Amino acid sequence: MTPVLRILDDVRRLAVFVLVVALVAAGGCRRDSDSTSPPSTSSTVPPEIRVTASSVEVESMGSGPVAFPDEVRDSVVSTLNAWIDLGVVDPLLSGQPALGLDAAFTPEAMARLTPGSPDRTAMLEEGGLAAVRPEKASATLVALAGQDGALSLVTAAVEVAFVRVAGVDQVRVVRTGEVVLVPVEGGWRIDGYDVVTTHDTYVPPPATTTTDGSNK
Amino acid sequence: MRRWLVATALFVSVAVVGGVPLAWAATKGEPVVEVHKVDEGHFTVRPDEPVFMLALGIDGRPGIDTDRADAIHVVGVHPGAGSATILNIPRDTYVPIPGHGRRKINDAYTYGGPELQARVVSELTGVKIRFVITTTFTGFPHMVDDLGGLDVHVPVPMNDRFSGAHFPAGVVRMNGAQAFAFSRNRHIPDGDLARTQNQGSLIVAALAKLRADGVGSSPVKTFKALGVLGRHTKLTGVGVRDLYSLGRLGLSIDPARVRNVTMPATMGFAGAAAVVYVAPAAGPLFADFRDDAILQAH
Repeated sequence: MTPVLRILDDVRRLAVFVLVVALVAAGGCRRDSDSTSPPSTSSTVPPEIRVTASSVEVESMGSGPVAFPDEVRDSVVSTLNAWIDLGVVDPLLSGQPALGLDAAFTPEAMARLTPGSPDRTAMLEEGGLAAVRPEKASATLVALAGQDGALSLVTAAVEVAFVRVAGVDQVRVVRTGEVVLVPVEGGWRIDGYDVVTTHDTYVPPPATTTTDGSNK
Repeated sequence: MRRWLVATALFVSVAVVGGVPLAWAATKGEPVVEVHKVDEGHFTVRPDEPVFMLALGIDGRPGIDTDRADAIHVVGVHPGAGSATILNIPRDTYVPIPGHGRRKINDAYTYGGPELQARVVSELTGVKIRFVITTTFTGFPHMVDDLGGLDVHVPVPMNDRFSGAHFPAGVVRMNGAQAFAFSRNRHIPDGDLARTQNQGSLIVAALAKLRADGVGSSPVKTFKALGVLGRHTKLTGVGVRDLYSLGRLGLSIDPARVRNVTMPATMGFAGAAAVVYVAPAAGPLFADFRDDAILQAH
């Protein structure tokens, strides 16, 4: 073998060696990841529970008709989403207690959300690390205008449903009820609520089948 | 819609105080009730803080020159306990009225409107009145009719040709005219005192009816009710948020947890005028009432 051919042969061997090492390393990494990582949560499917306003309406104590301005609707919906994000989704994804709730609740309402209270259980989703699979998030808004026509209160009839996924455990969580929002500087905050929360084992819907009726 | 108006007027006034008040001026475009806030600041309901309000029936019928409070009821609510007490004060109760010497308690409204009436009642009972809810004389029968009638407890058989009250004892379904007659009848044992007690029974009956109709079953329904009510109510110092909180508070009370009591009193005369004197037993009752709006010892 000429020296040149010998060098080329050495390069091929080195390339094969490098390739083998790379493959082994890659394989090892995969095995290592499979054996130690927690159940996939937000990294695979970013949770997106987005509350939307399905309808708006105004009850007025004044004599004339009163409109429901778009900016009020948007502000109220933003607050509802802050509640769901900060009080429901974030605690599940982090496994930590809800934080920053003053973005969604008045101080009076927050005072009722004491740890362990029924209010906190109804409004917040804490106590576990889980992924979130959204199902439904809607709100119908009704505003109450004073005798001067100014919107003074808004009630949102909400239905928020999702599935908590923690490993093989899947729990369907549904929050239904009404929250009452009051205007604060720069937006609206939840001041009162009448919300019921249920947790049930998730049962997947039956697979859809079709038939032409020939067996009837 | 009219039914809603009736229901909401009753619920806010909490005072179907017969023989007296509840106006039906709405049909004339006039306010049905007036809600007057006595103190300053935002009204917040706290579970352990009792709320006291004064329900007045004002005798302002055509031909009567002056307005006087002919039905006087202090409604105390304990939010956390979900219970309430209606303390009925006879209109002829003889008390000091600031700047006017000793007079019948209902004269206070004539001299100083709801503010002075609230002050006099507060000084008598020791409770802090937060709101005064005032209704006028006309229209009460129509309101009861539009509610579909009230189921009222009649404590003793009544056969009174003056008021037109003819009822057996027990629970009686009354239409507007009957409820009006029931609330006016004082030709019964204990006369005026018993009549005042019966007026309190009408408040309880109205609360039961409103709850049965679902007015307070959800914030949306309360909004709708307040929307109608607000168009026929004069609000003095009361914000929408106050009114909402007040309404939700009132409608949260189970009528079965409402005590209806009348101030212990004796009948007498001040000069030639028949008056009602506050009995010594009233003091302990007031003390029991003012700490939490619940009567533990009475």
